[in-house]
Amino acid sequence: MKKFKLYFNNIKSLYYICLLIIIFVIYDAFTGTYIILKYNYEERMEKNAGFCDKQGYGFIKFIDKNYKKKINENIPVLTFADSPNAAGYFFDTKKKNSKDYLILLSVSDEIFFEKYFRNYKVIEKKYNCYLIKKND
Amino acid sequence: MIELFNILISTIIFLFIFSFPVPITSQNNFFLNVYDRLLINIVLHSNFFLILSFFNFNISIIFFVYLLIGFFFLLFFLKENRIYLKNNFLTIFFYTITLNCIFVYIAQNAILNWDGAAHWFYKAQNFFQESEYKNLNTLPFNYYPHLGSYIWAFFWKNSLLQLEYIGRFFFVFLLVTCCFSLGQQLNMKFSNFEKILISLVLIYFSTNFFLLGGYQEYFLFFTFFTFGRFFILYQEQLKIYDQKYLVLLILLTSNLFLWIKQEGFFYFFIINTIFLFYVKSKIYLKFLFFFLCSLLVLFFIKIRTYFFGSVTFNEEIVLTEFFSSFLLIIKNLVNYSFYEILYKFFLITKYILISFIKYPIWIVIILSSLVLFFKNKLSYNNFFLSYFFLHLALIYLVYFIHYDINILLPLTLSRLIFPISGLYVFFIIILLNKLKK
Repeated sequence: MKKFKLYFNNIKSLYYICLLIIIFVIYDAFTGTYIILKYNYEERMEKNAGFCDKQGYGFIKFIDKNYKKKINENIPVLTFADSPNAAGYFFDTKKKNSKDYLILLSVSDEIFFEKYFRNYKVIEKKYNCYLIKKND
Repeated sequence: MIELFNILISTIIFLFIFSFPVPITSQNNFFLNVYDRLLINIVLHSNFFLILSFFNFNISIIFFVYLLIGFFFLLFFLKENRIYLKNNFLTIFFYTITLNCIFVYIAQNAILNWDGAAHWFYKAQNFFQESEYKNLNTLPFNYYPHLGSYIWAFFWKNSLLQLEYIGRFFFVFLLVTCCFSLGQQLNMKFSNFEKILISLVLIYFSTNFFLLGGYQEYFLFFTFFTFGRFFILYQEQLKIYDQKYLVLLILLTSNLFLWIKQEGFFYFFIINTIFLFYVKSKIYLKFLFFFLCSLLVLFFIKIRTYFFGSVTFNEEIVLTEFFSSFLLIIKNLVNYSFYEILYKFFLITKYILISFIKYPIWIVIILSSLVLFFKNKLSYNNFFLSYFFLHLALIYLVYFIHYDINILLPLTLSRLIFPISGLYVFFIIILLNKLKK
């Protein structure tokens, strides 16, 4: 505290305080801190990377959580949104890539789906995202 | 709350790890400020990380050893550190505050952007999950270099909560350290407040949060910056004794180009050729530099060939046989009509100009350079000018051989322009120093 007083006891200190406030404002530090304290990492990810929209983080996480034991492979992800997909977050470098299963994100058109994925059966569907499996 | 704590201690971890082997607060060399010494340590450690990445060592143990050495260095130089902290409290304070503010900004958003999510993150996952280097072969875009991803995984794995974005803080650390190093290069006429203010303005102008979403551009920016800094020091240092160390540092810095991004391979050739051409040095030192550069390239080719079968690039300008790639370029150019060539030329030029406007730091650099070039002749103007034009020539060449550049140009060209700003930010400081003599 003594040191702090030593540095901030003249008019120059006002400049430094202004500079400090500017940094906080520019990088939105208060809002950022609030968001980090209020929402945990997973909540923030789902908010920013989307559930079925954007990168489809929520849907891929849902599949990973519920089908991890059943499908012991990395499931390829195909997204129709103008965004990268969040498959990398759940990628296991020690597992093989699945040839039977496929995750589809942001499929806007059911007709499109029926036309191009006729040989697949739907295992899971949430909003416009699918987990599909190739017919035997 | 733990997450916030984890974010805040990241700065301390970075400073701990990069506080050796060159003691950062030592007063032995007046030419180097604290941030320059940090840059040297980052270069040395990055090269060491590169070697480690080829072996399947446990990165948690490496981290522990690093912390231990860092701790001993802190104890050994405790007196110097305390004196430095006492004399430069405000600079260090603003340095850490800026780092933490950017860290918080990244943490609250946390997502990865295009290339970060599609290429670089898979490589980071590989090292995070302690898979071997050769396992990269099974991942998408395996021919992309991996150094940035390895360091990303290193800090990610060794964070308290093991959250992915903490690994990316390394790129922020690079940017902020570069800009504070610049601020400290201002002359004695500048007050401490002005130095801090200028550093912060430079950080603000150079920060692009999209690129901090998993891209490797800031690592390249750092490499260009460090190369430029060592080059200027080399030209200004007259003592041969120091020059040898600087040559070694320049060599180690340019080695990073090869292992950060695939275009780094070309940057390596261009920048080192120009360096050899313009540097004022003894001929034996030039030969030695050339020889060591060749060794580094051979090592790069050997490693890539051993693990991945060949040295592959996105573009077809470098094929296995150089001659056939040269023929391909000629063939493509001959196939174009005059109108097509003109159209492509204007289109590429248009996007180059857009790229300069896209990053505010370039506007400041261009304005500073114009004043400097016309008013004050610098002894090392030619080095910077030559690199700039050869870099642009490389860009024209790469895009000329593509048939459909309309989609490619808006997406990729700006990322070829941004990193080299690291080499030219010195003009801003040189101009400011000349204005306030």
